[in-house]
Amino acid sequence: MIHINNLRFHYPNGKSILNDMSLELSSGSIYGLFGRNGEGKSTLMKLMAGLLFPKAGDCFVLEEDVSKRSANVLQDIFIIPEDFELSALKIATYEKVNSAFYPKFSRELFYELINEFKLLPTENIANLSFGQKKKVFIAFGIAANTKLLLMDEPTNGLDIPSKSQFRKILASTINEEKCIIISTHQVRDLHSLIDHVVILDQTKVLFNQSLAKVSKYLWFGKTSQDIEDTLIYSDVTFGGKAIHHRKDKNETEVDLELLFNAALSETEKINNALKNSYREAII
Amino acid sequence: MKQSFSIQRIRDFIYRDTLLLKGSLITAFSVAAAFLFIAIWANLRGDYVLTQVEYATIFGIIFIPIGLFLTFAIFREANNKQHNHFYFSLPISPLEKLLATWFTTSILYTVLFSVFAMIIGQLAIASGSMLSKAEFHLLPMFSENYWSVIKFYIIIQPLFLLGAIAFNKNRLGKTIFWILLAVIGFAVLNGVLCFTVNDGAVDMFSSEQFDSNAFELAIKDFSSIGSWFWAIILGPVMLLAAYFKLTEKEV
Repeated sequence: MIHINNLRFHYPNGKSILNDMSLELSSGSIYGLFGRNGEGKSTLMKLMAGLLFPKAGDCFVLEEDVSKRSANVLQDIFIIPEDFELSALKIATYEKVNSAFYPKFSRELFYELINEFKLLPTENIANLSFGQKKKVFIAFGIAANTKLLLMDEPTNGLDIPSKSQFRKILASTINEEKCIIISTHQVRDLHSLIDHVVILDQTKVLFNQSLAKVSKYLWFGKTSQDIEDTLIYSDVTFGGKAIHHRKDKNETEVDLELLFNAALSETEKINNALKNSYREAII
Repeated sequence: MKQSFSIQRIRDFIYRDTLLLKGSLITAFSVAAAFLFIAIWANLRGDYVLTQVEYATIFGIIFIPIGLFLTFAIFREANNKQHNHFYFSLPISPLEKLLATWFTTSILYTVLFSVFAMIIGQLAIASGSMLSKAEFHLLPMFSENYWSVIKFYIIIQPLFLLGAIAFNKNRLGKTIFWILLAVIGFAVLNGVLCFTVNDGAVDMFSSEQFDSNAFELAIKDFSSIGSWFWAIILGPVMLLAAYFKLTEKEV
């Protein structure tokens, strides 16, 4: 779905944001894109949507150079940025004027989602709160039925009930043809949705693994003396939570926050653990 | 089947632009209606008749500024940091986008404004004839002067279209500044050429008969070439530049 080769990017007169970065993302997954502030998550999403252009290297989406902004490729990409404003139109008018550009747009789904988010098609977007505007945009993005859906901090501004609604809606949306990329700092909001983790740090991809593989080879829990030989990472601030080689222990739920911290501080150990475990399993 | 160029998408984008500009259009056309009414009444005074030249002048005074205002307004979305991600990620190619925008702000606007001005003008004449000694007559619309105004607008509009895309802030001011700079540049170049060709014998600011005759002649000889240059080259070249600017613009 997405092929990024040796991509470099920096803003005018700014420091390098992405440097010689390569990444392959496939359909049928919901990717969680994580990283510290300013590490280029939003920039990478904008590059994938053709809103920014690489300074070097290339970014192909569905076999096409997305920076050409051809209508054919843009019909299959939808981006919901963190900070946005919508045109001051009625929700129904907004749908009418914009949906015409998305051939697979589902009006039924859009109005179903609008209804689920407790909004009315006759409401003027200008009179809505930021959270409500976000709901309109999320509903539009999902109803657009694009193969690639990019979301930057989608749960920011949503109230508590809407967050679980959002999770439910998104989980029902994904299929083998689609790829959803979510950039967020609110890992707990979207923990249950994500099935692949990509972590950016210091202009590079630091970690890129499926959660299935992580939970297969890593064990998340409290550390104790009898299992210290399998320890990979432990964090005192998480109440003694640690990551171990799983070996023959029971499978545990992946703690994304712990995994993120471990990937940042013990990058080599974590990546080697997954690489070697995988190798051992094959042998 | 996926199409790389689609008339339907252009149509959809024109519809979208028109709807997004609805507020600006209503305000601009209201101002235009008030101006046309007052100006036509004022011109009915004295001879009780609105001549072709008078109408074309009134029409030009309001038609051109409103057209340029709409040209800038239509790119508001592209230049707003909170709106432009959607503008640039909308599935329509830069060429289709530009063609749609140009069509809306030049052809569609010209037709709509002309019809609108015709209705308002005729109403102004009718009401004027009821309230004064002015006789009811048809609006002298399609004169040579009217077509000159339209031609002038169609030629200069792409220049402002380019400015509306190229600059992010103070777009109108910067566009006018660069146009003035270009005009001064051309004037200086003309002066230097005139001076060089005549071996320094011509002073274009002089009131001497010979000098002013030579300058008049030079203007006359080059005017037809100049007209063709502006009419044929300027518009398409500016549209081409606007197209490239649109393709390379990032959020």
